[in-house]
Amino acid sequence: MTIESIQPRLRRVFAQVLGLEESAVSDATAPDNTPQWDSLGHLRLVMAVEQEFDIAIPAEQVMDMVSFKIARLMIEELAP
Amino acid sequence: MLPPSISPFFEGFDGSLSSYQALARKLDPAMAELPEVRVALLASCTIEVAKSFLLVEGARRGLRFTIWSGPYGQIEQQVLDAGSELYAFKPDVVFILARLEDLVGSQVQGFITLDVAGRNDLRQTLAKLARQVAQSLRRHSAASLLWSAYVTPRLPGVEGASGLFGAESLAAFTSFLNGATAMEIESVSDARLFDLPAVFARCGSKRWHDERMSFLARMPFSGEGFAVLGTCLARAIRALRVPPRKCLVLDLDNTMWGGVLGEAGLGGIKLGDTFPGNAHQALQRAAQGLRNRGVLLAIASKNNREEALDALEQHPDMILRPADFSAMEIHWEDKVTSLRRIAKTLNIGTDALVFVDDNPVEREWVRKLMPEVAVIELPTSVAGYAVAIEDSEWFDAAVVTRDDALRVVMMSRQSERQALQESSGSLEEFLNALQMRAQAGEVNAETIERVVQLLAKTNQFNLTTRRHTRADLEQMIAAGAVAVWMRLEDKFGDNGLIGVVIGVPEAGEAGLWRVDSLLLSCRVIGRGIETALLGLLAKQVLARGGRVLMGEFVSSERNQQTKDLYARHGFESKDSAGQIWTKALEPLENFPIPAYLDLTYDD
Repeated sequence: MTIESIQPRLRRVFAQVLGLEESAVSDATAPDNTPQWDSLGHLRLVMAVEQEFDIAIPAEQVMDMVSFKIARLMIEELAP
Repeated sequence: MLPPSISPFFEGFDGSLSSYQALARKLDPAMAELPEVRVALLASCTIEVAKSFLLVEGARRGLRFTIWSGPYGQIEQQVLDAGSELYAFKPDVVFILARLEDLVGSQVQGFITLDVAGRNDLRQTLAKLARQVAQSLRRHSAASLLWSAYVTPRLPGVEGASGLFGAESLAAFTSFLNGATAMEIESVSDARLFDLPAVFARCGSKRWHDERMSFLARMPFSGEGFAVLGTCLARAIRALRVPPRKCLVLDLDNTMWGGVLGEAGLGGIKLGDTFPGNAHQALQRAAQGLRNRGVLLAIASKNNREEALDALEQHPDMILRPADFSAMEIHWEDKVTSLRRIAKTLNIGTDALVFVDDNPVEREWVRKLMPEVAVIELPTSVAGYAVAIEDSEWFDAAVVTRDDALRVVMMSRQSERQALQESSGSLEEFLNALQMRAQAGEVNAETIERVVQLLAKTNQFNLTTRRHTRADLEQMIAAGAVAVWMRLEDKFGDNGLIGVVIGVPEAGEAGLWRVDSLLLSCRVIGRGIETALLGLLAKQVLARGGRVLMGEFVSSERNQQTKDLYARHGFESKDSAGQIWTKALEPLENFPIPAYLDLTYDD
């Protein structure tokens, strides 16, 4: 799966789960600069990303998904 | 069920986890005018994620949920402590999800080592825990309780082989435990089990568990699991808060049977034990099941009346016969006219009707002209018709009483009563000829379910339309209120429990009693039963030291016929709006029981 196909879908998922405008979501979007991205928000984000891209992030990596960019890289690696 | 005011928000909603989150956020400020239900969630694990799903699924059903989620693993602490956050939240509904893995993890882990006595002990301890929590909740709150039935824990290594339901298996233990817990819980008013195993089954075991989240965040369910839980819980809560619709209106051709009677004839319509006739029979059986639960059945069909009645009477595979229907509109006039007539015949509002018709044009026509009628969207194949009625949720009822079944029998004799009325010279003569025998008494454990149901359902003859829950009513009675019920039989049969009056002593004014509620089932309006109820209440209140009865009329869209009730009974108006009325209790002869009523009172 290419960046081009991942980016818009992932941006929509982030915007919906975190309550942001899609245009406000960038590679730099992370818990430190996004108050809605708290621990519960993180779980919601992981579940929504997994469903959207039909992937399962291994338990060891669930807590490492700490920015939009990392999420994108994880999907590139995991997506079929 | 989806209110028009918020249906635009659901456009583009695709049911994905992210769209639930987005919708929950948008809906929150948009639901101000929907009725609020305050829902508290308590669990032995993390379930806070369920909130957004529950909020959306509540809105879809016309309810505005305000949701509080307690910290995980604090069920008993929150429920036992009168000063807890739970009670500060003032919940209307408390949902409790306790998992065996969390409650008694080591016992179920070592399940195989427990002997029979050990297993009995475990079952009794757990059932008692549920009862204690329910009792404690009831001491501090009138909230409805939903306690989740247990799902068989998935514990690697504990059982020999999954998929075998041995008498000694954990699965068998869990089933017995759920039965025992249901009995314990139901000994407390307005407390029931929530069918969590059904939620689990609907989602599917594989997709329900999320081991990763269980280890990482004590959150054992998947996102999809939470979405299904939110949906099922919202449905259950709606059933607790919203009474079922009263009447199912069925079309005939291609609905109750396959084909068009006018073209195919009695022998040509499809009905029987092969497809599609068996699917049409399944729809008829679903309707029959509803009728057993007290839902009135009616027909709205464009057909030749004689021919249709002939098919209903004569066809060997017909499940429903003419006597099962309380109203039949079979002619060539339009369905809107038919639906209005059905409501009028049955003396119910058109907003109590649910319409089933295979023809999308007829459905659209009814939707447009009568938005208050619930129109069930049928799937394209008849194979899904019966299930569509069930899944519409319009007939969901938290409580089904014996009186529900009785009502249908009663309504089927309504035409005979009408004939008697027409042949009687005067109202007096008619009321005498009905040979009414009434039985009344103070509300007790046997009658309270039906009384609460009447409080919830009665619109037309209801002076105040106060929807007390069972727990509310019990608290009122414990605080000194007098609540009286009445049953009525007449020469045509038993009408069941049809009237309620509740008197409450006014705080701070000795001798003044307020008529908090006064209502009659619509099937017995016009027989002076309200006069008897006031008479009974007056006698009881006088015996408790009351001197003055204060009547209240709280105007609603539906109860205008009771506006002059207190004036008719010699009460004095105390305000220009006609809301407050009073009358001295003495002499008691001013509160007579009608002479044509043979009344017995159970002390």
